[in-house]
Amino acid sequence: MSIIKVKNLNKEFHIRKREDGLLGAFKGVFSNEKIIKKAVNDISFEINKGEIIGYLGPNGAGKSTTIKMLSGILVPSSGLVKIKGLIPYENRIENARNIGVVFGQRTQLWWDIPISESFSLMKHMYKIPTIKYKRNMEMFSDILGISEFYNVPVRQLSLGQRMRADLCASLLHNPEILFLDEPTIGLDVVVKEKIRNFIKEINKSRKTTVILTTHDMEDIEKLASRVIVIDQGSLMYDGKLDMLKNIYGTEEVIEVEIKSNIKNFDELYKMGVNEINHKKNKILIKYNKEYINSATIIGWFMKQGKVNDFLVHGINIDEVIRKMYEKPMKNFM
Amino acid sequence: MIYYLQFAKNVFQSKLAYRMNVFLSILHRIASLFVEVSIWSAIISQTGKISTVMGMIGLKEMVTYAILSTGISIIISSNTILEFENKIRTGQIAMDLIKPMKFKLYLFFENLGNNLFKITFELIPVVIVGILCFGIDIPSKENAFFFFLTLINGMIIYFILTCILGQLSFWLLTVWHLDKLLNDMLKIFSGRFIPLWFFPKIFITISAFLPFRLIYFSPMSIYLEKVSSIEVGNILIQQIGWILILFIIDMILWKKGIKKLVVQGG
Amino acid sequence: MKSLTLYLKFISIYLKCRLEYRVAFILDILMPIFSYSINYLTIWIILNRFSSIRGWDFNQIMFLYTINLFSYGLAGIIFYTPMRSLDSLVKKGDFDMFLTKPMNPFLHLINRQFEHIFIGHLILSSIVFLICLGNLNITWSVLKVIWLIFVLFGATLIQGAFMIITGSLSFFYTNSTSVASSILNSLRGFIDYPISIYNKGLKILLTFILPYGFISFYPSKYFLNKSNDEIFHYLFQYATPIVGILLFILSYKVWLLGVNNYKSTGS
Repeated sequence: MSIIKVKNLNKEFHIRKREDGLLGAFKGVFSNEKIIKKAVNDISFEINKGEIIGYLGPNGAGKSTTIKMLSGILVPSSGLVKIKGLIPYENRIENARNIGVVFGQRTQLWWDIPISESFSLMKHMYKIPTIKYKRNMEMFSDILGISEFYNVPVRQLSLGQRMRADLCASLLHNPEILFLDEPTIGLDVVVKEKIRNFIKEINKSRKTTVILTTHDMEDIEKLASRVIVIDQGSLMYDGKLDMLKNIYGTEEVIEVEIKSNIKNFDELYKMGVNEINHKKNKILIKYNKEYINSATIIGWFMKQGKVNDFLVHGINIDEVIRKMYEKPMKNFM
Repeated sequence: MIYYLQFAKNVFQSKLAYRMNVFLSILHRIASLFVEVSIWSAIISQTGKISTVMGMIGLKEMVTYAILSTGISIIISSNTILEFENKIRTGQIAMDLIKPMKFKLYLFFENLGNNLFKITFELIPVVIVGILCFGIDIPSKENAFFFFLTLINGMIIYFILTCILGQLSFWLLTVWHLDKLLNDMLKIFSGRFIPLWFFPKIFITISAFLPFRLIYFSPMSIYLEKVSSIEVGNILIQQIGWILILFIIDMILWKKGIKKLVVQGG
Repeated sequence: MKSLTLYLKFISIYLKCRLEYRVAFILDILMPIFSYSINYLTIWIILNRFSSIRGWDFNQIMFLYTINLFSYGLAGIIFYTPMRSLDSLVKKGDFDMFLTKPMNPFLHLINRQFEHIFIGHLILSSIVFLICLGNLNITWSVLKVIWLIFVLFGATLIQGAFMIITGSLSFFYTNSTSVASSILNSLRGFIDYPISIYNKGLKILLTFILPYGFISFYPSKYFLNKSNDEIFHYLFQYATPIVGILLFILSYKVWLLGVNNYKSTGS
């Protein structure tokens, strides 16, 4: 059963035209020209309870705009959004009780007061029963390690601490849906890992549906089972991550270290590899997964009996997405 | 020089981008001018001409005073203090110091850009409205010349004052209090709103020891031809004296502040 | 009701935190006290020289000014900082946060920020008020005291409404709030003195368009027993609470318009 339903969603913005230069700036004071920009263009998808969705796209693709329409911040130009049967922008307050939202760059916590007090104000705002609140606080501060900075106001927290506190605050009321906009941006590896584990844990134990936008492909690989890719406002791909890799990311690289020189690679080329780079005893081989696999290539080297070491560079999702932007394949859907 | 002028241009241009602000600031200045003129006309219309230590003062003179004083407040107001505070607190100043430019010149030209903007979009409209609605006295050529000369000196005094207070951020946690304080002192001791000739004696004495009157009151009294040529010379000497004193204080503070920055790493 | 308890809880936490830095806290409050003392001083200088303006003497003008200052302080504690912060909230898109919470964004915004600096306004105006009372011959009755409370309530709503309207401008125009509020500050300068000293146009402006006159001038006429030589109706002296409520409702409508604009443009 789908918990989020999006159908033919559109969002247009009107932007005031600005011209360059001093003269242009003068003109801008008196002119009123507008440009229409389609930020989201006819998008449809459905999301089921308990899924973790990676929502991907380059900067300015319309990711945030979509998330904002799902969370009731923006009103769509046209189209349908339903979250648990509610239209978010019409039932904003009711919808807000069902969702948790974390924007990587901003905080929902009170600026001047210790985060512990912020949490207790959240408790009041969401009318969270004391038992539930206490249980959640215990669990979250355990996994996220919040107790170290429990009594510090937000303005004094580091980015990583703030992020953890924000994540905690957004989940205190047990929302069924969690929107995460760039939750790991600017964080160090350790904190990133902590946050990923936390999201995974919440998703598993509570069946929380998570929608995640990020530029960090590791986030996606570790968390998301399904990805939705959007570019210039339009839906590019919706499906399993592996599928995406299979279709776009068919080129792999294998790195082989050999004992002594091999002079002739003709045989390998005949077997179907694309490119061979030869540097002393290190050889980089690019090949298409559809025609030949790594085992065959290694097998060939083994037959020569000269392999010291080898390393397969799997498909990098970052690369995949970039490729997709380069050659969009709308028709394959 | 051209390089520094670029800062002025940048400021000018970026301010133009917010057109609502342009209109609102004109409105703001005109509103405050109306407040002042209205108060003076209410006071003076009930008594006619007022005799003071500096001669008879009539409504037209007070209106001129209000227009000039609004004009001066437009061109001297600046964010220098808060900018210093912000740059020092965030450590941005270190970045500015490693650039091949004189920091204070940079601030000065940024101010200049601000000022050119304010002259175009605030001063000129306000003066036009002021002249059309109330009329303004015109001084002799000689007085006009000395008015502008003392006005520029006054602006320099104000700029150095703001630099000094801003630099205190090297030692103090916040200086916005000082920004307010400077404005409050100006409000009363500079003659910004009330000309010194209406002051009780004790306030005139206090203000004689402070530089603030040299920013507003002195140039305006020259404009209104309330001072003799000897007194004009006196004003100029005082202004130059204050500029020197403040400049030395400013230099010392700057050197010490930078040293502190280097030693403690901001 | 829920949001009121939330607000009170927030204020108590906020003050508790601020009081940990006692020196800064005291300085913050002394600052406006000093600043507005200077304003009182300028009034004194003028009235010292001219003894009265159109029949209003020093103490009467102080009374007038004090109602203005007190109501401004009270409104400022609640509305000033939230409304001023709106500009950057909207510019950076941080206002999004308020729309993802199960709470009225207006109440939420006010709930998040509080400005202790305005306590200084309240302290100073209260002191001056007591001094004025000693020098003014007002015969107080229970009814008059109750009426004074109503007047202060209405005046606070008017001051608050102006803060809300200027703040809401940020939904439509970037960076406009600070300029807009300095306009209001200079317009507020009009009511430092009785508006009867101004010409007809300004009187109409300050009564019907920007009803600043209702903050202190019209109610003071009642308390100080001023004759009605004005072009306006004598009932105006009793209108402050009504004007306050109406203007506040209007300002809330402007706020709602702003939020709707934000919801459709996202900035």
